[in-house]
Amino acid sequence: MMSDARDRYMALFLQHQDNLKAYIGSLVRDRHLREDIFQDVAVILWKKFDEFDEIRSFGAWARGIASNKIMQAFARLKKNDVALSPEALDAVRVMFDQQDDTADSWVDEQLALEMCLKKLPRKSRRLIALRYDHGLKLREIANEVHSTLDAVHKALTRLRDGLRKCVERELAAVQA
Amino acid sequence: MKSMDTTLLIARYLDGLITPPEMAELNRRLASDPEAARSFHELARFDLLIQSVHEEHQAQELFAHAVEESKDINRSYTYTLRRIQPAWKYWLGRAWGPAGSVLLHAAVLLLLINYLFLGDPETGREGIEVELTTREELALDDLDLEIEAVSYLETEERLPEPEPPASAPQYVDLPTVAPGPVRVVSPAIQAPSVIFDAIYTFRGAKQRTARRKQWAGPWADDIAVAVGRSADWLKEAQLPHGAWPGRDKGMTGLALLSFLAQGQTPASTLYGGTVSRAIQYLKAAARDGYWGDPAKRGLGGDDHSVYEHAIVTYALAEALAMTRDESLRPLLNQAVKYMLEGQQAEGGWDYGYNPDASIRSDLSVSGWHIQALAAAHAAGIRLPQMAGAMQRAARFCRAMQNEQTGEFTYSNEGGGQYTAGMTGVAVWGLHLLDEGRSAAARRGATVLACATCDWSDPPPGGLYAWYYITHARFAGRIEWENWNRQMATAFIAHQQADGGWKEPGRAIGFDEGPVYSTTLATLTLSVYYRYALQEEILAQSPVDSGGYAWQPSDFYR
Repeated sequence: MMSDARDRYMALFLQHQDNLKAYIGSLVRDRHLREDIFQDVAVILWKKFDEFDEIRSFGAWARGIASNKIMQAFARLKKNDVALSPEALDAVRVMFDQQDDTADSWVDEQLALEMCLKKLPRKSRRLIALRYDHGLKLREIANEVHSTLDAVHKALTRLRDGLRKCVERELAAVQA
Repeated sequence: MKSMDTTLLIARYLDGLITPPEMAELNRRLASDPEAARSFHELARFDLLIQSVHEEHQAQELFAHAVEESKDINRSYTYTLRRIQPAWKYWLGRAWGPAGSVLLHAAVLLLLINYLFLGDPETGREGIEVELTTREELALDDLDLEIEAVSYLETEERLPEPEPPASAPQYVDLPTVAPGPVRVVSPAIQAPSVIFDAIYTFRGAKQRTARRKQWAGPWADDIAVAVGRSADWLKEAQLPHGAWPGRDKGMTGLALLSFLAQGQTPASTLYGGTVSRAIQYLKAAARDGYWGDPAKRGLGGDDHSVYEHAIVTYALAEALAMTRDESLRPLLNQAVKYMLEGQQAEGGWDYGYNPDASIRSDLSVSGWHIQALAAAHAAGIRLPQMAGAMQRAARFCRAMQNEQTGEFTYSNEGGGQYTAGMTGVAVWGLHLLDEGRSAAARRGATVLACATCDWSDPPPGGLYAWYYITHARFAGRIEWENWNRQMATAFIAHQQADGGWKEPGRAIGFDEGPVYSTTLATLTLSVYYRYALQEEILAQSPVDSGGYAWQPSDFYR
């Protein structure tokens, strides 16, 4: 019985863990805090698994629990640290629930994005790599490329915008 | 600020640049305007999409990164090559002299007798032939009970023989039962189709203690305590779904290896549940027998997920050999098939299983694949071309050496990056591939003999390098006493209060997290009993074994 529940839990968790990580990651920008929260949530999900109603979406349930954890973490931050308010967090969670990704739904977009990344000029690719590959903070990137914080931010924003449009085009082309 | 575009505010949040007043404004808009929340979701989700395609590089640079980083550190790892001590200076000879050697042999004989005759009565009764391809006494108990009497797992029935391999011409076929001298075979030279768990025979509780006593010197007890504490640490760190945090498949593989190294299986009282959940998780996480990223397999590039595939295969192959959980076999057949398909014609492996060695070959990636192949072979996995693949892997290792200095390089790119850690990878790999006595391994030994284990001055790769150096130096007994003193004191002194380890110093340049460092440290401290390799047993065996008696001093001729 026990191991039965664990098997079901494990299967569901595996299916949703990427998206759960993504959800937490989008709201919590600090890498270490993000990892801590993910671990806490993974523990709580199993502890509360017998309360989980399997007719519901596991993803939505997990995000609900993650939201609580995130709020607690934000509440512990110092007054001057920036954090999403509980109300804002709730509004964003609703949007994630509407989409309710699982591991499979990312694949097409990932492939499209990889195509788009290849089209970028070398310099732009380096910038993206510094941010997303090496996980550098913007200030560190600015140092690295001998530029200003503002210029790096603007360049990244432009790049992400371009990539987003490119992915949309690629996906449309695949579907057409 | 009121006029600032919402998407700009979101971008500033995602880039970590948002100011408190801007944050207040963003919070207000998100809470009151569904469009703002929708934008946030869209942009954050895309940010994560970019993150996810880069994740591979980011965290999966488990090992490679450190070597690359070392180039930036203003320090070059050159080794002062010195003449290696002549054979008489070798520890055994020096410590005990010829008389000691006799004593040692007598002790080993006792050990062997103990080990042979208390084991499987089927083979022991014959009195002569010991067919180590059968299950010997693997005491699968708990770390804390080490001193007490051991309850041995019952000998299981011999498995039905799988189909013979299509090609294994260079293998010596051993008769199953025949009178003759003690025969012990390495994973690479072994009668096909039988689980060869004899290489794990020192992992039983009694053997662990005996081996530590024999090879760890005055640190034996402290090491036992340290490993016990780290096992508790790892048990605590496991997540409920069976994985360990971080690069979960790779980390779970390393954690599983750490428990198996102590003879812990699902049957163990203290850690049985932990081990069982780890195995279950890895089984569930397989995608058609693959633990890397299937979309990138064969495409090369920066796909580091092949590391995870090799590490998980390595761990589950050991699990199969030690537990005989046959449900693992189909999975491992498939997993090894991917490894063979991913091997370059020259014998190496690269990121994303790039097939073209002229583009790049990677000794670090190859090191985990060699360990995995050896473990799979020991578990009785036999695929066509597997034997040839292991030979080619050995040839590849040799080709990565600078014959002048004896050092091995991390990859064949550029001028190469020759380090002690990479030399450890190659020499340990050669041992597993039954070329531990080759000229290449001997040249490597001269480099390894100069390696140091100093927490304030770690080599590139840190614990990764020490893991390999330790295994290679122990397998070849390369000035072992010297290394053991450095390694044991440093590792014991730097265990954290909570039982884990952290990477040494800043030279590492990356932090793969505490599970990574703790598992590597645990495996390193288990070197005394992790493997029972052919040459070691031959060296100790008082019985001549087929013409060749390996001598430690062979390294120095």
